[in-house]
Amino acid sequence: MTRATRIRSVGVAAVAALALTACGGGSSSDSGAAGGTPTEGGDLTIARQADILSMDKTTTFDNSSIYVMEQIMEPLFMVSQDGTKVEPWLATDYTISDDKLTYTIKLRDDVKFTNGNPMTAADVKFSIDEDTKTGADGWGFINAAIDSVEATDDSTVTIKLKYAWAPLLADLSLFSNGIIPENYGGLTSEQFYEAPVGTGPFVWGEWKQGQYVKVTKNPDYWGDGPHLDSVTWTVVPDANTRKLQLQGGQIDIDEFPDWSGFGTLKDTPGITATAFPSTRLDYLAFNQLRTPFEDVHVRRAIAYALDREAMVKSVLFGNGQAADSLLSPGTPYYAKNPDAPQLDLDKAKQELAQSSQPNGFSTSILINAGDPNQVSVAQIIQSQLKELGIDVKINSLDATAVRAARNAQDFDMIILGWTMDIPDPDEWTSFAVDPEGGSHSAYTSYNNPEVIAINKQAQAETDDAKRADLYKQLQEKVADDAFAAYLYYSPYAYAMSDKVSGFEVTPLGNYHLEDVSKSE
Amino acid sequence: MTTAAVATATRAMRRPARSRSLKAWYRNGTLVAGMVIVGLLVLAAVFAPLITHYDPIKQDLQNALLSPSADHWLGTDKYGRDVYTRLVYGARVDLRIGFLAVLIPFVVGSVAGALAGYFGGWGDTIVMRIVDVFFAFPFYVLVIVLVFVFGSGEKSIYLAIAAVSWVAYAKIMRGELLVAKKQDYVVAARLGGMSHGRILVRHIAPNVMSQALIYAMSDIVLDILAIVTLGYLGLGIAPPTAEWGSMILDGQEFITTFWLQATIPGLAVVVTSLGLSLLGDGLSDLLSPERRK
Repeated sequence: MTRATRIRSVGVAAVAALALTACGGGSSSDSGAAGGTPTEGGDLTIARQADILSMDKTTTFDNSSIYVMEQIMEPLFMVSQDGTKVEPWLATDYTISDDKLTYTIKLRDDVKFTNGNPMTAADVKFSIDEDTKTGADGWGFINAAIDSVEATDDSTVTIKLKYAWAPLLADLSLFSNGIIPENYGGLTSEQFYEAPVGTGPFVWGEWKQGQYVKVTKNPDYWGDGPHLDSVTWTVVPDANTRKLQLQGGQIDIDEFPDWSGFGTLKDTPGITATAFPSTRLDYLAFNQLRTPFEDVHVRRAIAYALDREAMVKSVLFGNGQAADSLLSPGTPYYAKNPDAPQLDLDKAKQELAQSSQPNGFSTSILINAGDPNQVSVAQIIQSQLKELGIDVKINSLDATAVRAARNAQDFDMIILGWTMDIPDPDEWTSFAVDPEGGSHSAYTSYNNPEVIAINKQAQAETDDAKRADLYKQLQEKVADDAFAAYLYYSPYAYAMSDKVSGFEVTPLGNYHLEDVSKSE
Repeated sequence: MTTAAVATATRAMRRPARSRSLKAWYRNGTLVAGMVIVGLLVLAAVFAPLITHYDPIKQDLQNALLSPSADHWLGTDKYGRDVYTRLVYGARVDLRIGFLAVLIPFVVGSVAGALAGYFGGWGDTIVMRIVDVFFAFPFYVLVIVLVFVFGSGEKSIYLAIAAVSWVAYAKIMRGELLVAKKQDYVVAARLGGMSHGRILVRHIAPNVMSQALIYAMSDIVLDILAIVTLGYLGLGIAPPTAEWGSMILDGQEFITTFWLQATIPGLAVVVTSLGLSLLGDGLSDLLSPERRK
């Protein structure tokens, strides 16, 4: 499902600032293969379950699209490989005013768009404003604190904030703030995103809907790399087929192989299977617009009835851990919460007894039929809720129908996942608990003014310790409200041919294909 | 000739043929083989709780994906459920729906086809044009569309299959009737002053039903395949009910690791189809031997 991850960077706000200063001047990515010069040339093929949906960086929420657009359009700042801080990317340096309301950012002067024009401050202003304008309909909420962006001169941008806003640099590292030519290079937004132009290591190639999307090398890339001539993401919905294709050498990388086959892939000679640490949380969302989910006791009862350890064992084959918070352990300000609901049938029964439905009820769960993990989790949930007298019908639809139903809040319960895109919890907390955050509180219509107030306070708080405390409170309250039942945290599974080197995934899910090379 | 004489003559005409072949049913190897296979499957389905003591639905996640053993003859699935048990309980669902699903199309299609063939005229034209329209679409395309429209579940499957497969019966019966209505015994009955209804029900039906019946046997196979296909596509019987198609779907994930999971229910479908096909073949030999020559 979609993952939305936003990070406000700095999650470490203060920490990030330090880190940034520390690595001040163009942080360069690690170059390709460990040891030895990377091979030049070659075409990389990545097989994945889902096709891209759109290249519009400001309104696209699905990872399949995001991972592709990140190779084409780049932001001013970039998340570090360990996913905890942001580093200058198209920017070289920045200063923050004493009142923390003005950021002055210096740009690299050697960056060209793939249409041949140099990148200037005017392009940066346009790109950030473009994102801000989408407001709650896109990623604009990420930029809510920005009052204005001005091009001071060709290589300097001044950003003024409405209020002190700790996560600004992290927000700027989000793909939605990627830099594109001013005025879309004279095109309309629709025309532009049919063949987007950016400063990235790869150039938009072609998209055969439902089959593949291809990008080709940007020979004039400002940074190191790229080494590959082209990269193609093919759509292969069936996990067994992807696995066989990888074993047969038809593809180089299998994106998200099934956990059930992960062990075998690991044992296959010539193939490396890696579980990259992630910020992914899978959760069961309750639609509070529908009875009886507006009742906190019903939600808690369900949250207490689920055996998360069993899910980790049988769905993830042990590759993960039970979730105890809205935030994943890889996210800044994650606070371990021993009081978060875990399997406890007695408590579940007590909660249900106090609820509007003491004798149980009938309901349904919406899942994506193409996702074997969801199919399994739904059946486990169905079986476990039966013990409470809750009859669950499983509605499985294809991914597109699920997305439509989710956006329209046309479901009782739904299994969703989230991964962070920036190293700051605000991206997700605003999305999840603030009805104004772009998704009616992660499609639940959860609305607790107290929690919303804490979230807003944390956004403006620049003191790291105080911020950590606010997020701790937030995590505890949200768990107590059981706005969703957290299921588990899982890593990103990738399996790749040993010919591929330099492929690393950050905890935020992104990868830098300019570092990747492929030997003969 | 008096009416009574005609009736007697008619009966005399068809009796010898039937009793001759019925006497020899046990010497018909195909029929016996089919009856044994289908009989065993039906017995297993009916007495499922007696031949296995596991619950087909209850999960036991601590014992997931076990290999075959004395406790679990065919191992357990990813939810720790006994595969053998689910196979047996799956037979209940698939056979029940398979057998029940042919009833409506069998009756509706046969009656429509018989009336069309017997009376001819504009009624015949209308019925046959409707039949042509249905034949223009592939079976699965229509069934899947209809199940989508009605929503997944057992009722929708009955409705969808009934809506799609009655046309085959209509076509068969119409053809039979076109021949039968010209036969001497029918002409004789007409001359004797019998009503159309009586001729159709009492005289023609017993003689022409065999073709529809034989077709019904192979139709059950088709229906079971359809149910399994729908289950595999996630449109059939909702989980956690044990059903062969959804077992194959669940097992697909493990095709390279625990291949029994998808293969066993697949084999069950093959064996069931084989049994029903043999049964249909045998019935055909038995009921209308002259057509086999």
